[in-house]
Amino acid sequence: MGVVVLGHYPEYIELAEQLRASCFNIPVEVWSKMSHEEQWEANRKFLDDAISRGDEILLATPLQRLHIGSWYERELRYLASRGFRPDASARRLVLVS
Amino acid sequence: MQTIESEIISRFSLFLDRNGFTVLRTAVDNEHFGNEVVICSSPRFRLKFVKDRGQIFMEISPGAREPWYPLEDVLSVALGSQEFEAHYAYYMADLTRALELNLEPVTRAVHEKQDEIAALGRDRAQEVAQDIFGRPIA
Repeated sequence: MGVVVLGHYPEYIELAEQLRASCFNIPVEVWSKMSHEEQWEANRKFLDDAISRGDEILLATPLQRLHIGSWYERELRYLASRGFRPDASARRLVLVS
Repeated sequence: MQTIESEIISRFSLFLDRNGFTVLRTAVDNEHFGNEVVICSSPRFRLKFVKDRGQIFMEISPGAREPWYPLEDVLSVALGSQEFEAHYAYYMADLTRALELNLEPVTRAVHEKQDEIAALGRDRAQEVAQDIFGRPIA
């Protein structure tokens, strides 16, 4: 079990580096050649792997700074569909069902 | 991070020149999706462009060592929520144009209405939590 960090750039990279945690990452040479569907598929697989490992999920960007329509929003919606909810601090997602 | 060719600078250079912005910092991160951060300053306020996994967002701050706010929140306070909501799609389709058309009210809002902007952010967080997770933040 590890720790994964989600959020907007650059906060999620900075927090992941600080905590030596994982974050979704693909080099630009690969990312720019993927279709939008392939990009989301890779992102979703990262989340599924984190869920199956039982990783702790931290939010580097608070919800009041979430940009609507962002990859971050899509990640949160996916995790919500898998039963995750913010804890009292709203900086961590916990599995509630 | 390394500073190399910036998509944000090339895409928004005319906007920045027209509105008297000086680029303070450019960082392009090719190890992470080609993400970018560009911070600019004008006599009115600071502007931050963030390219996050290919999507570009803008944040605005009254000055150095002051908080950053999503530009859409500042626009909403500057124009009034009714006006902003009525033209939401138009403004969100081109945030730099929305900013350019409303420089005076945006400048006043970011300097004089920070409490209102921060409160809007908190309200939005609750709406987002309700919408995404089906319940507000505790």
